Amino acid sequence: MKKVVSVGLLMLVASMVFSGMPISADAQTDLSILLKIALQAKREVKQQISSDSSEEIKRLFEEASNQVVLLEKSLESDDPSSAKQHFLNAMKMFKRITQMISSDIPTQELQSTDAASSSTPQRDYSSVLERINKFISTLKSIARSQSVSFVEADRLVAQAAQQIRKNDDRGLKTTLAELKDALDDIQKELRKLASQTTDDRTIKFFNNMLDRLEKRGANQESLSDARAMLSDYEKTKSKELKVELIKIIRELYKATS
Amino acid sequence: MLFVRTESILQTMAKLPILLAGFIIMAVAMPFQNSYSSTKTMDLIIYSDGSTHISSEIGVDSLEVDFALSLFGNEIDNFVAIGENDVLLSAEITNDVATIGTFSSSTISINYDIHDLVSKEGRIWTFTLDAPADYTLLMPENSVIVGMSALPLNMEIVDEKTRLVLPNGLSEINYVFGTLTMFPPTPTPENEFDSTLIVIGGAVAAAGAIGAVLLKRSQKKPERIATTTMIETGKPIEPETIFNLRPDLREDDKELINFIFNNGGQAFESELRKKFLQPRTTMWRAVKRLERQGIIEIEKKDMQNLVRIKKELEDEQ
Repeated sequence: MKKVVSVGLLMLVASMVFSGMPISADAQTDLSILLKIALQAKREVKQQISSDSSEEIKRLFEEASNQVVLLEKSLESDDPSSAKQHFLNAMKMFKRITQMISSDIPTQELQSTDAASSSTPQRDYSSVLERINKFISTLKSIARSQSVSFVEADRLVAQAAQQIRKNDDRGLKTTLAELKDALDDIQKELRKLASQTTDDRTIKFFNNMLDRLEKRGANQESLSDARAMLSDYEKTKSKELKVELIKIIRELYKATS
Repeated sequence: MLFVRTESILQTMAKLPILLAGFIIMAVAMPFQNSYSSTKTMDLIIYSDGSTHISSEIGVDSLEVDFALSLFGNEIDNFVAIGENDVLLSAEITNDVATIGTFSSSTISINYDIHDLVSKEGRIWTFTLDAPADYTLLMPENSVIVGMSALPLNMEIVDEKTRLVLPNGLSEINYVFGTLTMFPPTPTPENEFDSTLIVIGGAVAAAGAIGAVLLKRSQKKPERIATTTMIETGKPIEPETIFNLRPDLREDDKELINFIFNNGGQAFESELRKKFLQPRTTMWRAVKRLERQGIIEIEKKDMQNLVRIKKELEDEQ
């Protein structure tokens, strides 16, 4: 009974120790997703195939469709390994067909298709602005408790959005450059404000570590050296001192463990 | 009188050294639990121009002064590293490595845009990533996956975009901007009809009728015939002509017309939304407004609304 209790307690302790560590577990695929993706791909590819498409394309599409049917059957018969294989086969073929169709389309036609789907990277300023907006949101979340002005950045974003609507590419480029400068300034300001907080946090962190080491019975002489060094660091904020302090703390940890 | 047996308690207490040993192991292990870096979460968003936003939470050694983070490429924009308590951390990027001042933080949050993960060949866009941990991937709107080398762990639809959960390791996803959408077509806003719209509709119909009578009378005048001849050229009407004939057009509607005209006279409603950063309902109202004014026509194509400038201007409905 005592042994059982002891083993139980040890297991409890071990679970506490290892609970903080990341666990890498093999997550399982929800297999019904595979069918959804394959069916979407099939519908899209079918749309691209015309009576003028080559026999090779038509044959490949037949094969890919067959793989989708087999995927469905594998799911019905609860055979995950076959389902995964049929999914990968089908997707490989759909990709191949799309590549073949894409290479068959004359360049001029392809360009107009691309324009229709607004996927020409150089001209998609909406995406650029969307990303800048996300960046500004991140900076605003950092600056929420500090007095950093975003008025100019917000004004430039509104201006850029208007220029996109008006197809004013030249004006837009100028606005985006100005926006970049404004955001650089905001970052500089945030970094300046953060450096003070970081220094305070660093000193507090060192103090906590040294107190903890003292409780663990670390060598008093080394500890007082470290405290003297910390006092110097508080005045100078020297990176070399910081590195040296970290070294000492690591050694003291090793010695007391 | 109630007696309590204390012998077994003492015997249990005799096992105190085992307990102590356990707690010592725990105490020793604590500082080392965060002494290595590990990606805790990773979320990716692919934009329609192929650029990708990465946001990631990483566990780091709080006793390291700097942390060298391997980025997924060289073309980086908008990099931000945030420490605990939302502190902006200093960061320096050299090629594909960001050196971040992480000291005293055990978890950092990283955000950046990268242009190296998606390539394009013909119509096919290819996303490739060798990820250190499982991650989520939000695909661009109207994209359809046509190739996939890895098995996704999950999939859901968020704001009409596909969000995949993908396993760590190498994944390649091929997608195109689809002629088909995976979502149900836009709900026909006829349901949104209310009494105000009926009144407005009645007024517009009445105005239309009066306009038709006036137009019929005015057709006898030679200069009007000349205008009609100019319009009926088989090409979409020039924006300037539209603006002259419809002087009361709103400025934003004029911008829409300009864009559609420059896009070869037609555009999908989804493109207009993307171009003008407008919500679905706002853009639908704008398009309907132009349709009512006889400037454009709306056609269903591949379950999407294709908006086309008319070849001749009609009377307002």
